[in-house]
Amino acid sequence: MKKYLAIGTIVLASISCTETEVEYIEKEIEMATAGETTLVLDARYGDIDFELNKPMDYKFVEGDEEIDLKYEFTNLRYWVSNVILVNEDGEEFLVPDSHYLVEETNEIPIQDGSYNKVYPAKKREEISISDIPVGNYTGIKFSIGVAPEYNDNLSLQAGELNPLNGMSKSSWHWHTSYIFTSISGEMEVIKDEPEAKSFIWEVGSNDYYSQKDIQFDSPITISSKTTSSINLEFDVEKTLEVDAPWENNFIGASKPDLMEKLTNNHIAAISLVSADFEVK
Amino acid sequence: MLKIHSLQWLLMLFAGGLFMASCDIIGDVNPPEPLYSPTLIGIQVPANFPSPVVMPDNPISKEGVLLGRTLFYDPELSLDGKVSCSSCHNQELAFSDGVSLGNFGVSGKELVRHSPTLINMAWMDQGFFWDGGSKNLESQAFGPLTHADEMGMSLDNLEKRLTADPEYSELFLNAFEDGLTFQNIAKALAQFERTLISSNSRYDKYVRNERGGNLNDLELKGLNLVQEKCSSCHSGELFTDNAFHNNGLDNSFTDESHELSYQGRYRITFELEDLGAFKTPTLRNTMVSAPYMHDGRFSGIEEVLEHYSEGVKAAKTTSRLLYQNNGKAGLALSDSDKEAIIAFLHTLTDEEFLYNPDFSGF
Repeated sequence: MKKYLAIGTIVLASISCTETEVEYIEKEIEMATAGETTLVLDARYGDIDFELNKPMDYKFVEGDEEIDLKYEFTNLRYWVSNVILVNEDGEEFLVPDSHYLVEETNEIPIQDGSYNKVYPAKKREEISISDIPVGNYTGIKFSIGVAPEYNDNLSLQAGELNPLNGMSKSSWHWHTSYIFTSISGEMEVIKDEPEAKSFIWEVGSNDYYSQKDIQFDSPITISSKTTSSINLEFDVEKTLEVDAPWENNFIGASKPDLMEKLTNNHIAAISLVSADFEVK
Repeated sequence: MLKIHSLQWLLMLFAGGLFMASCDIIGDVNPPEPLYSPTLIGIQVPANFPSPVVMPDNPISKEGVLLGRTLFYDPELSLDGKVSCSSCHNQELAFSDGVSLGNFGVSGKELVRHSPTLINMAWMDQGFFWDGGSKNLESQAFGPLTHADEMGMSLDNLEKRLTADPEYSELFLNAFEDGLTFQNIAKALAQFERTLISSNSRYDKYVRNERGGNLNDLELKGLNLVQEKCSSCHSGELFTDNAFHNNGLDNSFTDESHELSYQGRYRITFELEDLGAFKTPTLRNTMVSAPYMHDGRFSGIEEVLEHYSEGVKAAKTTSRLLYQNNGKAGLALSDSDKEAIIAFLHTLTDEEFLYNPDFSGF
């Protein structure tokens, strides 16, 4: 359909505009120009798909004891920013204003529910990136969190960055930081008399702004004449590896060591599945 | 060409039609006059002051300052429509509130820290709040605006409420290209706050050799004492290093409640040396901004001087600047030293600042 529209536009344009303009448009169509790609961050839980509101088994060892937990998640949200595509010559293309919120979340009460307003339930794992210069790309880099320039000044905007989407709240305003990553829900310890409690794990502040570097198995060509996708997997189970999770059911700005652990886990939990392209 | 469905032809014709229409329009329409043509005013730097912090993303304009001032005094910025910035920042008290711990917020609950003065903030280069957690004025405003015990507002509610007021729409369009957004609320407040400059006290006139700048012997003695004993922290013409020090108020900092509020700068840096360290307030207008300290524990200046003289607690992280050469904590001020220091502090009161109509409500 797009093709028909384009041809139709040229035909009709030739009636209304000058010949030079028509030649220009025809030439544009012939030449390969900047292209787009899709970055997918598929949330997994070990070998299974990550899902909200469904108990997921988790085992950890404390002392000599193996403890069984069940996690039931209500949200998983994190910022992906400063996306950089690296071409075969090692040149880097930084996607301008790249701040994307990747998430799987139930409704979130805005500012702890004091306003009877909610951020709606949402699932988003795909990031569309356009205006990428024509080239053969061998890898992608991106950071988890908000770039310091923007994280230091909540009045600046870039891409999807916005304090209204639940990744900013009063307790973090005192630090001037967005919430970089957030995972929350309920945890239940499995024993004769099971016990359950809620958990909220949040990471923020510039110290935990970390980059992930992914190399493709073989280069992908990105241009207006190709379609492509970069498919990554994010294993949520790996991010849960913190000491004494039962005691540390709240992790936030006041627990820097655990924030560091969660950050390292998050970066390590992302891996390449495939990077493919095909000519349109 | 491939077989084309009639609907697709219709779409092609439509697309072509739009193209023609757009060709015709070019050059015919003059864009409307934009409201946005701000008069940039920058910061008037007093002759005896250092260079201020520059925020390239938020240049100071006449229109931005007017908007910021309007917002600063408007209780509509709070959940119940009763609390404005000025509820806790009263100009005549150098923009402090006169009580140890205020309960002027929408919840009526007492806050855990004392309302700081708002003086010469354009020079504050190490963050805002008593622990410096907020990195610039543009971000600072989000704290009190949204805190449940201060103005208690949600940011999108705030934007919607102000949008309902046509006067605000115009003020915003005059000051910012993208008009009314909550980001611009913070930017406008920041612009106004940067204009709150106190630089015309009797002391200033003395150092600038201006008319009315006379200090008597006692005041001069006080000036010398301040320079000798206080200027490691209350330094330079700003009378603050804007940095963080543990000034020996407490022995222990184990209370982790209120999101580590009692641990001072430590809650931001997690450096042990910052345990119990709070931001140095300026000595300017200090005689009108009692009570003192981050929790307002001292009601008068005499208590403050008594603390620095005899009351400094030798905790692990108490600033070494508060020790004497003999290793004893405290500055050991005599009664006549205290008298002279107080006399000097009075010369730092800046009536032009406290009653400047440009800083007042409407």
